[in-house]
Amino acid sequence: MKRIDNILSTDASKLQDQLFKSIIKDKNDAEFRQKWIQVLYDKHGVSKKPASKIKSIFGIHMIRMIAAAVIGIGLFAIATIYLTNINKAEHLAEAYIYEQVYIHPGSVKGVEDATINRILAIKAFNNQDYKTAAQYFSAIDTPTQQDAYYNGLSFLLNKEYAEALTQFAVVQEQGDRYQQEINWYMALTLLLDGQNTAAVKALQKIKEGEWNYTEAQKLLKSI
Amino acid sequence: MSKSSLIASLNVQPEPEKNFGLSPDDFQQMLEDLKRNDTAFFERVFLKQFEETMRYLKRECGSAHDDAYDAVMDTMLELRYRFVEGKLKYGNLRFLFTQMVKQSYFRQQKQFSTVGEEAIPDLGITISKEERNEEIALLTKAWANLGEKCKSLLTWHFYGNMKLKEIAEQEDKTPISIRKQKERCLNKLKDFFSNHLNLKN
Repeated sequence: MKRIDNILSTDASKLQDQLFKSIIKDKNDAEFRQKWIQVLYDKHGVSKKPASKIKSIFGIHMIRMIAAAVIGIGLFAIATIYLTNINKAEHLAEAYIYEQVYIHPGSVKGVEDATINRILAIKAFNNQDYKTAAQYFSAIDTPTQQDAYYNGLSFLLNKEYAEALTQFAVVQEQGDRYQQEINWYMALTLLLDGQNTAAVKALQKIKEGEWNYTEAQKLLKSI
Repeated sequence: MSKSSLIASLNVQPEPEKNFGLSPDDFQQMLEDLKRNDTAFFERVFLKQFEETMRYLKRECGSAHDDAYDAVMDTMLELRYRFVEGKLKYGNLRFLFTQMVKQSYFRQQKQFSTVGEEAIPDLGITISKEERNEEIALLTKAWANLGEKCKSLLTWHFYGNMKLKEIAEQEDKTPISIRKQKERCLNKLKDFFSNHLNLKN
């Protein structure tokens, strides 16, 4: 942490101010970036996702709507509302995933078996190369719960939802250390994987006071 | 025609169209707001241009959708910074904005093709993306321990580029008391950093 180390080691107030200015700018820029991602999507319909992909999802919805129309006008109307909301929930879930900065903190204190695969996985994860990170995490001989958690996140961020769900289940089996994180990311993954009923159940597990409760309630309303 | 009237006739007032509909007074108001970290006006003006500017970048540079999105986003942040630093004047903001977006896009493409650290010119140091994220995460934790007055003061001064004297006038306090307050706030952050790094070691 070059800038923070320099802040602590220098007595020169001008340099210290410059260092604080630089790091406070980075923090506030990151916050504005997150805010504007949301505003752009909500108010202007602009997202990082290419329009063609949005259109392809919409296309699938249209086919489903036509099928519903065969059954009856009433069902058609219900399906329209339902599918529009799925789209909204999917986008909201994506916004929640991609607005965050993901950092692997390194191996847990005291863990000495820093295998080469783990080192390369952490390096790739922090370089946001999630495909490579997942490959290295999966190659660790005796993965810890932390490895499984970050492996799951790597799969999720690489849009490999089925694999992410498998890893998150592994994390759950190994204890409740990551329970709040798993509840949240599992719900997002299920939503993006099109498993809405399961996503609703997962979101309902997030209780008031727990991590991302407010966001979970927003998602529940949008489904 | 006299020399002075010829100069006056050439000194055409920049049209608001070249400045996203902003009049010189609007522009000044936006700068004042940004210094106090009130971005509502800035967002109303520039987020509205976001999609159009993305289209421009795709058309002019053949950029991919997500690259265009990132380039315009980066430019918005850069633009805010240049405004509060007093580096931009009322003139032809539309032209400037599109030029900045193009530069941002080419810089981004260059970064993709090179692996390594990013320079922070003002400090003469380089830093990796990973390290930058770690520092942001630690500052965010430290920030949560500050009171609202500290948060506002440090944001106005460091992010809004307001002088301590300006803050003192705004808060109806003396510059000395504001300077002392700033020192106390920075010491809180330093204590947090210090404790965190000691625990880590």
